[in-house]
Amino acid sequence: MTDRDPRHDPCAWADGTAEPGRPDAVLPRPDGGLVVRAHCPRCHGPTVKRIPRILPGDKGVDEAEQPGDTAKGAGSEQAWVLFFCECGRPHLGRPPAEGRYGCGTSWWVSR
Amino acid sequence: MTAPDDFGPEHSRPTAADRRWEALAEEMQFNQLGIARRQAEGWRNGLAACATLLATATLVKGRPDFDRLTEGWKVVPVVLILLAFGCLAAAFLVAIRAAHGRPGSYVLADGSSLREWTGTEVARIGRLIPWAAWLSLAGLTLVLAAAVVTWTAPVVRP
Repeated sequence: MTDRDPRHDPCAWADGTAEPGRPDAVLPRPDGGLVVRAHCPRCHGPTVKRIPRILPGDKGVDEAEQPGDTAKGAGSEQAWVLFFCECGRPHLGRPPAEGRYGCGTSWWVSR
Repeated sequence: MTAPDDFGPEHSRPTAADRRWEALAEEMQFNQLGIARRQAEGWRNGLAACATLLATATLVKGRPDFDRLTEGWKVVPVVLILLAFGCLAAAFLVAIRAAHGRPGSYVLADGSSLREWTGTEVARIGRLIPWAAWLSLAGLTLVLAAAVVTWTAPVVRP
């Protein structure tokens, strides 16, 4: 697998964190969820995070978190989403058991 | 949803706890059917128990014949029983809500939303349980009072 994106840094995989960043785009989903796209601050690869609405826990939901409220995002109150790099590009040293195809970085993204 | 920590996002990096919440939220996406089924089962069992208890409450009665009570007292047991039914039904609904949540609303499947929801829900359950207990006590007391009234209220002499 070759890395054809000139912006992407094919750095070695490392389980690390990075400073918070901004999203490239935040789109609403038909189910009331969100799709957030951001670039990894370490390897600069793009990651798209799909956040559906779910029944939380095994017993119950919150009436304060209504479907209409969930997609308000940064408009009313600054909200943050935890991103894990899933650029899908090769990074040497990625553990075989690692479920995410990225450089191993996690960081907060505002939405 | 609030910022990821108390110091503001510009000073924050994800912690191990943040990652754990995120993993939990991601895992829940794959268990939605089971979660919905368990919630439905919880409500079904709770409502069945509620119906059974209310039916049982009708068996707890005093004098079998209200007609013999004097005119003003006839209405008292009826009102007490109706109030008791209301209290017991409310107690059951509050208890079921605390135990199995409120069906039909959702939360975003990300760790921050899930963490905030969990804190809110735990606090809410802590408030609901005493309400359920007091409503149950009030309902049972009213049933007992209705029975006592039917025995002790003045009756019409033939």
